[in-house]
Amino acid sequence: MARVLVVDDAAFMRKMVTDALTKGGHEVIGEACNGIEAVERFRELRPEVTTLDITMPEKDGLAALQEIIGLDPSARVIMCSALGQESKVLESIKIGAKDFIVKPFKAERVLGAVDKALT
Amino acid sequence: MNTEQALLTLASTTSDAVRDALGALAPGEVLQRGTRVNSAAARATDEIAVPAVVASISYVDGIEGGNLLLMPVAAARRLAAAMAGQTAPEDSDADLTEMELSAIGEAMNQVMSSASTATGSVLRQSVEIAAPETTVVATQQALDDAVPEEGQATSADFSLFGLDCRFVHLVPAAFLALLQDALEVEPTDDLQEPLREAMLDVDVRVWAELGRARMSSQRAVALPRGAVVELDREADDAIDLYVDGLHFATGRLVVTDEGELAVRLESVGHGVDITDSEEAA
Repeated sequence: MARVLVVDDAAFMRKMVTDALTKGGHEVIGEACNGIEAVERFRELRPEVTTLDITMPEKDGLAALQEIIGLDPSARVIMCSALGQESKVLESIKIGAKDFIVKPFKAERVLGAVDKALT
Repeated sequence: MNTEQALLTLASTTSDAVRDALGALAPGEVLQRGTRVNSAAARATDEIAVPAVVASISYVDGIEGGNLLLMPVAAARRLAAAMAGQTAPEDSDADLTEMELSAIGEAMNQVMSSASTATGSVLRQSVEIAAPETTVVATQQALDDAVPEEGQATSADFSLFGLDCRFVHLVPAAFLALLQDALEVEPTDDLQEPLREAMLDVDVRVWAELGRARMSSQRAVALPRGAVVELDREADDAIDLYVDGLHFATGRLVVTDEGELAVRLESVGHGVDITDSEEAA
């Protein structure tokens, strides 16, 4: 079981990810709806895993990832991308993301990515 | 390829991308119903039932234009339910809930992202989009107002859960110029106009040339302070005006009332490329 921070600007997606994680036995310890909030919540909660949407207002996922990795170089971050964001996914892996999932995704894919990030 | 064929290529490519993205969210519920090029974007709302959801995106990084996705609320509600693994309630007159609106916004984000990738494949360059704006409009007038009245557009029609939806690609002149360049559209007089319009806003470099001199690099680097370099013009000769390397005009150097140097043009339109000039030093 992992303590997870879920970041997405869409409440619907936060709910979908949270439901999948909860059913898989993980604990969602916090949510954030933009990059600024994501960094604040990460600093405050120090989650074991963070799921991070790429396209968000205020500060996007890549900028937030950069700051999170700056706070904790060993942070386990899983990026959530839409189709066609391959270049941003590659960039996020270079920055230090552990894995990525492409929307729309099934619950098993979310759980698989978390398991991979924890190993 | 001509411009209409290029626009239809764009419409077809983005239509496939939208079909795939919607199909991933609502498997088996999407049918493509054709593409067309509109002379006016305002026609884009024909046959779309209201109330409707309108999602719009614009490009970033200097590319003009954008996309619209028009969808009756009834279809959007069923799409949101499908995304949650549920079936939409029978009462389709109720207002959309916050969670349904969020799901629809996310769906629009995924569809538009996929469409922008397809657009980039046609333009042969990366196309980045701003976050989509999703609104619900209650009347036909509000739906019409959501679409710009000027400029060309392509439309791709879909049936989603049996209801008419439409993806609209707004094509302003600058975007059309990019498309023509990427697809190597053969220019005709008619087709040059959008390109010409697009070029009117481009900044150009203008300079005036008093004259030229030719010398060896050894002599040039050895020129001392105070040296006098003779140019190939007499003091009362006309000087040349260049626009981005093309000889554009000749004229006389004058001083304005404010004491600034200026050129009064005497003849215009030589059009000689400076790089081809034998006199280039």
